[in-house]
Amino acid sequence: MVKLLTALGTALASILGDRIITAVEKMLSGSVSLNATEQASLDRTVASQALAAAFYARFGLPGVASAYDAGLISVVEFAAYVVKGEAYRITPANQGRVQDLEDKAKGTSLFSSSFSDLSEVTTDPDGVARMYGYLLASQSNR
Amino acid sequence: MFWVLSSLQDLLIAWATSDYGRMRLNAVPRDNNVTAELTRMSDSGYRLTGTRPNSDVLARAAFSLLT
Repeated sequence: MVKLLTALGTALASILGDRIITAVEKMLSGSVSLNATEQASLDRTVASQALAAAFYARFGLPGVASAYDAGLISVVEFAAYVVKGEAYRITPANQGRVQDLEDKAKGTSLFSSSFSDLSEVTTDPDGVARMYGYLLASQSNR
Repeated sequence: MFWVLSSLQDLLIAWATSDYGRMRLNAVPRDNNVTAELTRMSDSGYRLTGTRPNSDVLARAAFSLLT
């Protein structure tokens, strides 16, 4: 049972992590074609997942639990961390896509409204923080 | 893709709302530092407590946590 849950948590984390990257890729390329309701839902999902990752990186699992208690993340996100231990991090499998996004961002003024220096984002120890930066910058430039 | 995602989420929700799942989730220790941080961030304008924050607030708050 524990192995099954761990496998499920791993699979979910992988798919959700992939979904975050895909969403940011679409935002960066300007190819998002969702209606306002769909976009709001996607924004909320991605932002909530990224916040869960931020709490995990800063406070560990108790941080995720407290964020859940505060109503900032869903029970699915909390459960994924409990059964897997961590989620939504950049993995070797998606590192190439993240690098592509980074290269694209370097060639634009995408970060100018949010960051004074790209290194503020790229030196962050948690890869999710970088995805967060892209999301935030994309939102502010839409 | 979305069907798989939805199914996995349904399974996790079923587990999380079962007696065993609730026990596991409740057994995770809470961190008072997080509560203090949430209050501090709300005082700083992120409005993370009281009302359901929108995605932009969540995004900025998460980035703030990591920088």
